[in-house]
Amino acid sequence: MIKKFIWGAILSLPIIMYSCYPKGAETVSDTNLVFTAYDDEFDFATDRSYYLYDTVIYIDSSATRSATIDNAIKNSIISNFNSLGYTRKMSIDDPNEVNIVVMAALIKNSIQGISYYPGYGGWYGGYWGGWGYGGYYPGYYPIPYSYDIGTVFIDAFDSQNLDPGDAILPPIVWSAAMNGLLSSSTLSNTSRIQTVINQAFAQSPYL
Amino acid sequence: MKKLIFTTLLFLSSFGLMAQDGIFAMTYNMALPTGSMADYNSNYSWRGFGFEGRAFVTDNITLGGSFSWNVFFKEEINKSYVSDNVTVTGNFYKYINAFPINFTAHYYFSDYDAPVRFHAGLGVGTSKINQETDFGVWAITHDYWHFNVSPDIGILMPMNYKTNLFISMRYNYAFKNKDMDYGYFGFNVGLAWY
Repeated sequence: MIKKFIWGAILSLPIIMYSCYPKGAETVSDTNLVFTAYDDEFDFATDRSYYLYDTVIYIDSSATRSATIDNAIKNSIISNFNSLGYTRKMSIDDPNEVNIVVMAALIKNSIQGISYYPGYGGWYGGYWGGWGYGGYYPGYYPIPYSYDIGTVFIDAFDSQNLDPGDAILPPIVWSAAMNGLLSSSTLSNTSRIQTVINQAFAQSPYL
Repeated sequence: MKKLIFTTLLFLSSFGLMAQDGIFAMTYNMALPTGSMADYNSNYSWRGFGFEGRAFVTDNITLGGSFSWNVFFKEEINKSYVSDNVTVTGNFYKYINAFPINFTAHYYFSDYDAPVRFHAGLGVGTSKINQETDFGVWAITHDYWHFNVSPDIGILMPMNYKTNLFISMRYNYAFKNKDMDYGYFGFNVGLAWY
């Protein structure tokens, strides 16, 4: 009796442990990641003026543009710079008119793959009369999966070193990259874009 | 993973050999990280279990084996990590799964029929450590075997002629392999049968 109880407990404990296993990210918002870096020798404070490049760059040129997403990105950048006391120049003839030039870009990566649910393989019977071998069916059941990852980039360039005729970009003095799983809802993705851009500015007090 | 399953099955299959001359114990295990393990994740672990089998080679000495599993988990919501001029913010989910598998030797300071049978011992073996940090859509993993030692003390309190309340405290130390060592105190409560 005790032996049966012991073996029953041994076999059931892993199941109990699995059901109690702590869960990680449960919503797409839990996968938001914000990365920022800056040039600590650049002077952001003296001249708080900027020009925002009007077009959000789609790194994958074949991607379908979304005016909703583009406006969410630009409006979030503008509102954050405004709250920091920056002055936006709507157009510039000479890069020296502003301290930094800001550009935004985004990319969507689609990840596809196949995972396998373990099962039992086996052999099916040979030919009539016992000649030859039968076939083998695999013990794993393929489960295809796909998901999209979105990344928004914001780069601020040292405008004083910007030469419009020069193919080489000037030094980046502030860079933000915001990354996460995309949902199927544009409304959700738009809201998350605003959240992560706000966070990028919040963790950049030197701006 | 295959090595872990094989070693566990080999260990569990030895139980049938013990008959009446040994102890089998099953415990609920809690744990508290120490040292560099606590620097990574200091949270107390409430998730764990363990099995032990011991055979008496003399009236007061047993040799045997033990297997246990503890899960250490910590979530850091909207946490920022700063290094020089770089900042990363997000949700970080930190997991450590520790599987110490030991050969053990114990000395009992009182006889079989004592109301409290105090014992002390040492386990030596290996520990599989699966460590994973999930952030965003990324993960950093550490999945290695470590040399392991586990000194412990405990008591057996008879409930009837065969069943005992079993309480022990153990320090599991997995020596450094690759980049990190892992040490934690284990607090185990369960039942043991002669």
